[in-house]
Amino acid sequence: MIYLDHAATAGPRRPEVIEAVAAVLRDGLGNPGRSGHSLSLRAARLLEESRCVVASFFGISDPARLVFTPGATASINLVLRGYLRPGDTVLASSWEHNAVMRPLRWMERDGGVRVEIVPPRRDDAGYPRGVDLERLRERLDTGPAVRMVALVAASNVTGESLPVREIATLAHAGGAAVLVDAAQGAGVLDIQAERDGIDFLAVTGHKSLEGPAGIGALAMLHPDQLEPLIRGGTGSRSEEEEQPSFTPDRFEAGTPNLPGIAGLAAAIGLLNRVGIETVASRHRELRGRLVARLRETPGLIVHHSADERGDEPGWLAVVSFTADGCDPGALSWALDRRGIACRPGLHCAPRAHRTLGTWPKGTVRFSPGPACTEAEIDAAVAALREATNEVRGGG
Amino acid sequence: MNDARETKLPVGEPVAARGPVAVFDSIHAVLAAERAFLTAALVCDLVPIPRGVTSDCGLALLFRATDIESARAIFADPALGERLRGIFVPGPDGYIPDAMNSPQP
Repeated sequence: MIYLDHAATAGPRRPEVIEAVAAVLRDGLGNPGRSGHSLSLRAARLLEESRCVVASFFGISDPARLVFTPGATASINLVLRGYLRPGDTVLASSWEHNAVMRPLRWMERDGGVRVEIVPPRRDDAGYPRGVDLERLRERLDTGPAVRMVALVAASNVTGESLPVREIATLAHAGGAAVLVDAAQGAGVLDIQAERDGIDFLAVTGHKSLEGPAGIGALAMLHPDQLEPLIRGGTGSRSEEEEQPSFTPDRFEAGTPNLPGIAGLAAAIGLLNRVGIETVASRHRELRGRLVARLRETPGLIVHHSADERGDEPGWLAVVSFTADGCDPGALSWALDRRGIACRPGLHCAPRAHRTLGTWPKGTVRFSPGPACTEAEIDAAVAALREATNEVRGGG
Repeated sequence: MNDARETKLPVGEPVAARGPVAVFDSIHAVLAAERAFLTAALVCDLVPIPRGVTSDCGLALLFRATDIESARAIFADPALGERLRGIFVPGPDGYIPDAMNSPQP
């Protein structure tokens, strides 16, 4: 199987990650911060050392401002529901995943929150790109006050990264906080919350960080401005029935997912050894080859800016395309029968597909991981040519 | 991950024979305090919070009575001090608040 669905979840995990998860389960570590015995203490040390690793990776100097969550969606819900109040206005990019859009639409309907979409800019060929920064600046300068700007670090449909630092600067000048959904960018892009002015940074462990599923994190510059979403036991202030006011306990009620946390820390440890620029470079190489090969294939529309080759900085190895006369789902199925794993449809990002002009059918998305080879890219595109013929009824 | 630490101070002795304990808001803060002690080359250990101090179910930092001034200096760092609930010293019937610190149970 050639695995080109890394943007959904990473392929087989590395042995170090598997061992880190297994060690917690095998060694029967206790519940961190709950009991006083040595196994509980080992668990607490592992939890806090992991917290330091993850916080440092995302540029948070005080590890207490990095809390573990079940994933980016949970982190985003915590922020949106813990920060916004009735009457607040949120600006969202036109590339948002439903992890952001669904809680926002719910809060718009039931919570009195106003949601506005910031349009993309257009390249010379009219292709939608990133965010129209002038429009964003104008909106922040005029109209009702904006409480938050929400954006993806990189689109899970096109692979384009957004200019997070510029947007954060504009948002802060306009008095708005910044939420970045880095589900796709974390592990490839150099994202440093404090340096980049990201008030709330949501990440998940199982995509480009290549850790386990079911674990994520939220890095915060201002945790005091956030109400917890979940309240319960923390092992601290146990004599009180009120949630602790201090981090990380304030946001970490319930027994933590220590196997996941250990696996995530191990995965980030590996990334630190490899170097994130090496990963980013590999993503650019793979994207460039993929875009070039797909462009050579007749009858395909590659949803990538015509102005770019594909291997420029700021793009992940995530490429969407459509094929004339082919339903994306049927094409994906034909590819699976040829040993190619990919993802068709809307990728839980209907907003992005509307922006791209590919709603409602969506696209087929190829998203190789760093371990993918050039030969595998070429083989996948060769299989795609056969698959399109089959779906069109010619093979 | 280094998770194997040796016990460095005697435990299980009568309270009067033990050293002071520092009690914090959370295990996160306790471990941060332990790191600060180790950085300062001070001997310490983590023990269950004495029941006489609080019914909390966490751990406390146990250290030598002779290091109490150094401990106070370390806890003067707001990052630790804000999470410190108090220093408690052994008394005849159990731990009592250290006169130099106002515990916040």
